[in-house]
Amino acid sequence: MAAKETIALVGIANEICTGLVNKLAQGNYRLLLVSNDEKQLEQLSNQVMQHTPGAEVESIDCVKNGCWEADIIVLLGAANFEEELIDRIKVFATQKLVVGISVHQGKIAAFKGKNIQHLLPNSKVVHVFNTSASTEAFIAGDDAEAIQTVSDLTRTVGYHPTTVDSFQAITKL
Amino acid sequence: MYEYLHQKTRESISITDEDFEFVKTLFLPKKLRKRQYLLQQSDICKYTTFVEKGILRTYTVDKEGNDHILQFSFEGWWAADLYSYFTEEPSLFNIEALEDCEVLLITRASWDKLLEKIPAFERYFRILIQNNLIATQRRLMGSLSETAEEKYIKLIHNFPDCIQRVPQYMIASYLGITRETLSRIRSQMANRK
Repeated sequence: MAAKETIALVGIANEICTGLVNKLAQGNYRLLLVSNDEKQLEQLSNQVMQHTPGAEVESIDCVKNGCWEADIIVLLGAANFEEELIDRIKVFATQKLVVGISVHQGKIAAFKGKNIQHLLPNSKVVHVFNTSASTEAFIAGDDAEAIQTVSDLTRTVGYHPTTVDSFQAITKL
Repeated sequence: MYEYLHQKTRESISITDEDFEFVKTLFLPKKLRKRQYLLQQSDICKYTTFVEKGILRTYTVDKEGNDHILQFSFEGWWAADLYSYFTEEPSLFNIEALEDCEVLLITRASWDKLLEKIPAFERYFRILIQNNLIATQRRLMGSLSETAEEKYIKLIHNFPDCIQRVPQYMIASYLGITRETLSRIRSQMANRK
């Protein structure tokens, strides 16, 4: 069996995340849940342990250590595209896959995310966008291998990945 | 996060601060907890690892389930399954953290890029590999012909803090002796003082 990769999930916030975390916990991954909300994190990790006994899930409140331990960094929610946070994790994200996930409720047109690749020049940034209405996930990034990894992860989580040419293309969907 | 890497490279080559900033961008910084694996048998060894903090153990497991330790990697040392790293064939080795560690990982592609952009690193790695070959020759001949006590003395001479940081049963395994023999040697040496 392959050595487990560690995924840091930054900005766990709502129900959509629970499903995501449960599915990932079933794959060969160790999960680090990073958030300031300790109570919510504990609730979430207990839930995951119940759902998937033997899952390696841990909560951590330090985003720097979470990113340092991670092989893959997942940023959830628009707040996690904030420059200040990205700047803090930049050095720990060097050479790593950084996945920015934007889940949109309802119509696509109001998508507010932004491309963070230029803020993390030494990381492989892949953006994933989907609406809560469907199981299709649109994926954009510069690195082919990174896109492949994210497509595989997307399928693990039960979504259907569709690669788009560029970040701009996502905003035009 | 890069102190030992900087120090060790400066021991054999001179590079500018600017060049070292570039070097940093090629390494993946990772924190490991005690007992976490960097590599497991039959994985492909994607990275060669530099230890900034902590100790790694590189070992195989035989058909009877016994561990055979290739090496311990302390601060400033490297660890990898070189065969797997260079051929992309499945690894024979496991690499495990013996303490909480901070390591720097570099892929084959980044390593090639490093050598291309900063040719001085060819010298650094040549010296590293040269020393490794000499140490490996010595260890091979030692394991064929040295007494248990001679092997132990050599180990603590080369790695003085080994005893404090590595479990005795692993040291015994590394030396190719039983735990009982190791205990006997250690108490004999203590009594002689």
